[in-house]
Amino acid sequence: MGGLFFSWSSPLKAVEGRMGLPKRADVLVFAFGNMSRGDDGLGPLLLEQLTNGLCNDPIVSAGRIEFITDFQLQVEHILDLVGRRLVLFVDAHVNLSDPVQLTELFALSDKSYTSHAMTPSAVMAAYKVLNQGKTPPCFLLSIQGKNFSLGAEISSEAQSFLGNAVSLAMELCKNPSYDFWVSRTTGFSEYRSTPS
Amino acid sequence: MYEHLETAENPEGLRRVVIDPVTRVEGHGKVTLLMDENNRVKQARLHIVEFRGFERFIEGRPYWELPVLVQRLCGICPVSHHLAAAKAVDQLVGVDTLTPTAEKLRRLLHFGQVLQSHALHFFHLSSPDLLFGFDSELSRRNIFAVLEAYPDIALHGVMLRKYGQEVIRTITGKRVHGTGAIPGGMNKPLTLLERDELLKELTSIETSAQKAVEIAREMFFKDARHSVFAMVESNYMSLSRSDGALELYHGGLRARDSEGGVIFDHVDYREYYNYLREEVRPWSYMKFPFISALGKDAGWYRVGPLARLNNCDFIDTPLAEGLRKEFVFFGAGKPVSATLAFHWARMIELLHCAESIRRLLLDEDILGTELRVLGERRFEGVGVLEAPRGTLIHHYCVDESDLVVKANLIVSTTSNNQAMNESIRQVASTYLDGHDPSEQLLNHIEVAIRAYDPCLSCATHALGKMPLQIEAFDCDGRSVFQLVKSIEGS
Repeated sequence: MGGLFFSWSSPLKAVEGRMGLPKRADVLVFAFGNMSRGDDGLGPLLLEQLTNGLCNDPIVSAGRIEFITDFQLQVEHILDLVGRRLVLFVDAHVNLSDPVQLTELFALSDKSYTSHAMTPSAVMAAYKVLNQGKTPPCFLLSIQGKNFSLGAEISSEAQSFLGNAVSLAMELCKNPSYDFWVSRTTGFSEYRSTPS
Repeated sequence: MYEHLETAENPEGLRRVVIDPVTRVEGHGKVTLLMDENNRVKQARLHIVEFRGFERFIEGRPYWELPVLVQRLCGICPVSHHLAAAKAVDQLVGVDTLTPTAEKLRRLLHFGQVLQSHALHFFHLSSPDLLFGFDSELSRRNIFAVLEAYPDIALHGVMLRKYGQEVIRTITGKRVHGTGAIPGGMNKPLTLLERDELLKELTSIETSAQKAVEIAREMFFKDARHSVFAMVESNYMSLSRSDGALELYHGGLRARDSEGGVIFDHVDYREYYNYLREEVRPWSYMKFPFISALGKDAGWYRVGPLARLNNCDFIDTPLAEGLRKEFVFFGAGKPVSATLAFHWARMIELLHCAESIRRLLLDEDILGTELRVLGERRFEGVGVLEAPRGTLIHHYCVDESDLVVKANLIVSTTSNNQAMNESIRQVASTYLDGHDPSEQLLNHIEVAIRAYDPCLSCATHALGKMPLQIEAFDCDGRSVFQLVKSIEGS
């Protein structure tokens, strides 16, 4: 079957070329969660507020930042990492010691790819396989959630945490450098394994 | 055929081997085998409990909720249910012809849906079996292993699925469970910017789609056993266009027999009940539809990509049509009956979707703003289209208060019920008969099921971690052994 397949040294590099993508924004903010499940919607809500807060900021008008939201992470989202210099995932978190936490992520081949919802580290691991072992630096902004019931509103506690998270995300977006983001980390991700 | 394996003559004393669940989507599928002391298969049955009660659940709801409500039937092809219901609801509001823009937007949405579903089914769910072998190491039977071993193949799948999802998101606002169709039309136009965004990546998508057909064909021919694996001779039913072209959104019902002879053609699908009947069997929750003119023993049929390619006279997009001819050539004058050829047919359809998306995006009507028409209220509507896995029928009756008083849904899994049972019996008879049922051998049964139906595949694929429990009993009903595959795959 060898004749069928491309001989790409890096399939994702080839994808970049073949997809004819315009230069992509350096920074990706990817919030995920379900607005219909109470505090699970913290990620998309943050993105909404962040987008509004930054609408007149030069970093947005210069096309240096892109915002994406979805219910869950799936293997297709590896394509959203292509061409990025910094990636910030945002998610609600049920077991969190602090109201808001920023951690650096590393690729980890966990079992989440067998489900409908991959972890950010598993998405990175899939990306790494296709990109000669490299991933862009990725961070996770976790917001503590309390109530994830179907049809529930955002809890009042989570609402108060959201404000802090938006402020931090705003600060990160205005200072899009790896060193600055690392300096603002506040803990270790449960997805942490070894740096790529 | 293998009808003799439907019911064992003397089930007493036979040991029962159960694959339960076959599917992880709602846990609706299981396979039961009855084997004698020499491991000879005496009975093989596929049981699927699907969507039971949904028709009753939507009774009493206002008709305009239907296109949104029925999407919850499925997480893989919600768009198909959305559009089938919308077509029925169009009739309830007295509309037989949509505006050109609304019809083309719906078609675009449907092509996006079929594209993403076909990519998911072939690349993510089925390709591990075909690339690594049906009895390959369990830990390799998942998309991640494909990514590692065949990154180019996996990437084609990922790109194709993402593009299809993007088409859906652009039109309905969400990749899953968005809204687009409303009674008599669509709820928003496509903007020029959105159209241009979709066009940007289309050339590479068409290239990937062509590769997908090559890969599927190559996988089919790489092992001579594939052409007879789970093979059954059957009738075929699908929609087709008035000129005989492949048609996924709207057309007349056509059925052919296993020799290619026409059973019925150009049937107005609103009269489906005059051509199809359903049989109830005591051992299954799912009905067994059949073509009434042929009777229940000879009238069962297959739907889905294989049926559609066997039934159509041509495909109206050039690349897919060229590859269809090659497919037809393989049939040597008869419909292709190889069950694994479903995948080959599926990828030809996927290419057709990519080509059709381009055609629609370049059609000036697609950017129009006349989205809705209304007519005189009616009280009955039937919507039929070709979902990724086959003909999908939605039939509703409403009362003066606009509330649903009767709903009948025939999904493609139901239409393929007898065929899937025949296929697993063929596999059980060929591969398990006389052998201890190992996990690898049982996977052969799952491979047969996956060829038909992404709903089941979505579960059985489980990206490598489908839980299985096989338990054998002796003549006195005592458990002799258990074989368990946990959710972690151990």
